[in-house]
Amino acid sequence: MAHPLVDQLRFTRSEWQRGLEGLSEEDGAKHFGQMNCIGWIVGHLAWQEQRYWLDRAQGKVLFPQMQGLFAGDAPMSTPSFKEVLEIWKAVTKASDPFLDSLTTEGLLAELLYQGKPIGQSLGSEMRRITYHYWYHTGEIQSIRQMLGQKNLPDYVGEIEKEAPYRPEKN
Amino acid sequence: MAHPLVDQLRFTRSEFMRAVKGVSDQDARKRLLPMNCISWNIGHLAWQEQRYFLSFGQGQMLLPDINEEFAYGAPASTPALKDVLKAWRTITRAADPWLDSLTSAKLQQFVIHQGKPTARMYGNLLQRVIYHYWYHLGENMAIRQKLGHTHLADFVGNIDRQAPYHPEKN
Repeated sequence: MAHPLVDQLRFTRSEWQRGLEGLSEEDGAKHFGQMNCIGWIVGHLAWQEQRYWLDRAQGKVLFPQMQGLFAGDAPMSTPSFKEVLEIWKAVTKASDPFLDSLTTEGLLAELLYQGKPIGQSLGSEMRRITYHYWYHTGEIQSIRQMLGQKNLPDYVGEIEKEAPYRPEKN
Repeated sequence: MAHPLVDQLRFTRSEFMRAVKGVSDQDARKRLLPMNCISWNIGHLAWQEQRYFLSFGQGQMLLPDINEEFAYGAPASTPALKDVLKAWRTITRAADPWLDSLTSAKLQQFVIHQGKPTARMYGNLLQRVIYHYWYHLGENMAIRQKLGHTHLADFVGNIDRQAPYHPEKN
């Protein structure tokens, strides 16, 4: 059984995907002023998952181009929504065995950057990514409302069924 | 020391407030249809904190008006920013002693509402509120970008220093 924080990340990923259901390639590319488009935001979360769970934690980089395109300070762009969603799926799938291996003790360990500790634990970054997903889920639903889309999902979804609270085991 | 999930809620509250810092009353009440305005969103989170942590947790209803005006599904409105901020501060302050008393054992108990057990554990209430804050934080920042605000804060903030991961004590 995965660590409870990993369960929460997976619930959050599923909620994020629910917020993208039915989105067209065309709408995934629309920009409102200074805001990024939904396609870019999907790439941004794929970038973060790769950065923490593959690159920093395991020294693996599946998609080297992600750093330049989707880092927090990367320039605005309009990637294909379908293409970045496939990248997101590949990155998250690749990170799953590592996530499944995490324990409470492992979450207290430092997430190294270029081989050195910088004051970030795996547990803190697990929560950072989780919150980052929710933040952008809210942003994406705002964009979808501004695009005039109807029948959008309500949040937070069925956490009681899908990711009920359970305490950590020390 | 508060339970780690309570620490996460408090970090999340502080981030939510950071996102509305510097917003004028006029801008907080602007609706970008069909979305709610920023001040309504603040009232909505005050409603949820009151419902979960005062009403479900302690059988208290400090501000009945908030329960009517900002419930899920309540009609849209454009309340004054200072009024909803005052209500939010009143409710969150009142919830704090109860939050400080929470333990992992209590978080696994099912909520009793109107004398009957519900399908929700107290731990799920906490997780639900945290994610709900982040969702609306992302929505508020989308609204601010659309309103043309610049030099906006980045999220997620400094979780490594303000609310680093520490495991639950069983």
